[in-house]
Amino acid sequence: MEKINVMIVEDQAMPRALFEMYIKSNEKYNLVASIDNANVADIYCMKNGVDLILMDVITKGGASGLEASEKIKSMYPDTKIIIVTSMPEHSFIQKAKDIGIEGFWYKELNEMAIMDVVERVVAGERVYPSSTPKVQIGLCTSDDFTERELEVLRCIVKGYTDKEIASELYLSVETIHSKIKDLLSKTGYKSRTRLAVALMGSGLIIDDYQIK
Amino acid sequence: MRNLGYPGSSAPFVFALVSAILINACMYSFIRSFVMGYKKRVRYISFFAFIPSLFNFSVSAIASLSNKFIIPSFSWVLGIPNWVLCLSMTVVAVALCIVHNYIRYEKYNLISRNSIKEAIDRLPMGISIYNHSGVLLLTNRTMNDIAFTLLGDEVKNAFVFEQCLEEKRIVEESDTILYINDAYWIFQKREITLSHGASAYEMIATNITEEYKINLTLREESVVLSKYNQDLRRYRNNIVKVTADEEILNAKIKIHDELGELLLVTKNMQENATSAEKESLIRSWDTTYKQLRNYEAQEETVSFIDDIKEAASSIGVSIITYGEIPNLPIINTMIHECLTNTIKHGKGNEMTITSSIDGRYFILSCSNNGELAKTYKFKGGLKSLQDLAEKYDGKLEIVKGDRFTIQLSIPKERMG
Repeated sequence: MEKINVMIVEDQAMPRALFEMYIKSNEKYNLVASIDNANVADIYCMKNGVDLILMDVITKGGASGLEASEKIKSMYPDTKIIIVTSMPEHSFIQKAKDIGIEGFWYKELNEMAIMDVVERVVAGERVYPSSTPKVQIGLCTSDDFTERELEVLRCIVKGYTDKEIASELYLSVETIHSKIKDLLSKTGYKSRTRLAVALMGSGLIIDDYQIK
Repeated sequence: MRNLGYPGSSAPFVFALVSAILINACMYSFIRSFVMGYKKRVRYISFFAFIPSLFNFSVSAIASLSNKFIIPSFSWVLGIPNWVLCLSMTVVAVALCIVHNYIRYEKYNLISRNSIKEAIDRLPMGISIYNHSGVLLLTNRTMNDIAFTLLGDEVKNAFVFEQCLEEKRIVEESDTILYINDAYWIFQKREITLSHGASAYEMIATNITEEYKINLTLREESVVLSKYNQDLRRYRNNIVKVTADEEILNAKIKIHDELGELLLVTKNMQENATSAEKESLIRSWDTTYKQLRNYEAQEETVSFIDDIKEAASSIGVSIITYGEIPNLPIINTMIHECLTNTIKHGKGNEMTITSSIDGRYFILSCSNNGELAKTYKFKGGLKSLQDLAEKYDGKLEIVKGDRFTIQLSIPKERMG
């Protein structure tokens, strides 16, 4: 039976070594490349006949795994991709679904072993976690935020003023004031700065600034 | 006795009464116009209203008392009855009084010089108007109070006062702001044109204590916020590294756990393991050992050019570089795009990248040994690259020659 060509895109050597070990220890798979920069992932796909990619979300130099996946999907739609990340950033899952990525795996969640995800994706399934990892943000958890609140939190992390947030989300300034007040009360933080620090520290919101 | 010609016996009495009232009113107005300093026309009107009123009173009073007209009747001269004449004069006197009062009341809509001075003195701000020689034309009480505090005397010469303001102002402020008697004052000077066309200077002193204190507080908070911002920026820069470090730690924990398991299994297997089991155990140790060695031995490539050389090499394309290739987004994008073109369109297996400096421009050329097309269009990836070059005030062009070459020129100052 023809082996499935796998490429690993992971900038941290230790997790990359682990994935390499998992792939090499399984006779079904053939490791064709193991790289640390998502920006060159599509180059490896050009002649190597890559069937499956384990792609980290943020790789070396801030290169975005999601952007690389989108490019690869447009050039090689049959190549299956599994996003692997430990960051609970809530928008990654939706972005991955929009791109048409087949699998999504949280390193920390341990809901399913990575090789189980690989097997199911290769079999034709789309495998996504049932939820994002729950992280503590002050007095509440990430589950306690609504979609709209997450949008406001993202704007806060970007350092927008209330007026800018209102313009971005097509809401009134008064509504934004009220939402931010509610968020500070919910999380127990006294200021937006502390809230922003907590959001970034938890990985719940990753600013695009960090993804190049 | 001549016929008085008054219609009815009570008419003289009425005329006398009216005239008496008018006399009183005119006398009052006349005296008041002196006291209040009204203009002369007001006095003249009062006087002219007084005369016919007096005459009328005299004639009417005597006539009503004695029923005799002892003063030669003007009616004999003018050919009109006495009563008509008296009535007319009464009307004239009344009219003059009305006019007089109108003018007087009109003055209530105008303000006198004293009123203006009084109002200016009551203003909370200081005002001084002076000519080009520094001689004061007008100054109010507030400004004089300020001058007294600063100079120990009222404002005598405006230029001396200006000099004092300059010496005692808060140096850090661009405006002339002074701290006087526990309050902050801002002094603003401008040139004005007076009503007769001459130009003069106007100095206004405004108490800005509240606003200035708020400003000071805002500045302090700004400094604190700026520090927070810097800390946040530093935090943002580090967060990715911190998360990566966490990942490494988790991986290390996993390997540690696996090593632990292996040790336990090895210990248990020492006595009772079959040869097949021992071989499997040795393979597990070998894998774990290699995994650890792999981590230690791995050399990280440091730049995009190294990564893309390695990537190109994996698919049979060699990249040769001449000159220093900076690690910039636009440079990286161009190299990536050229490599894609080399493989997809040119079907080449060699790409050359050359960097050089031409005057104030940094030049990067990418050429490949692939097939040459007859025509080239800037579309897709090349178009995006061209747009990106324009954002850097540079340009992208295809250079005709025996090899397909794309050349990027960027001003050196835009390289960052």
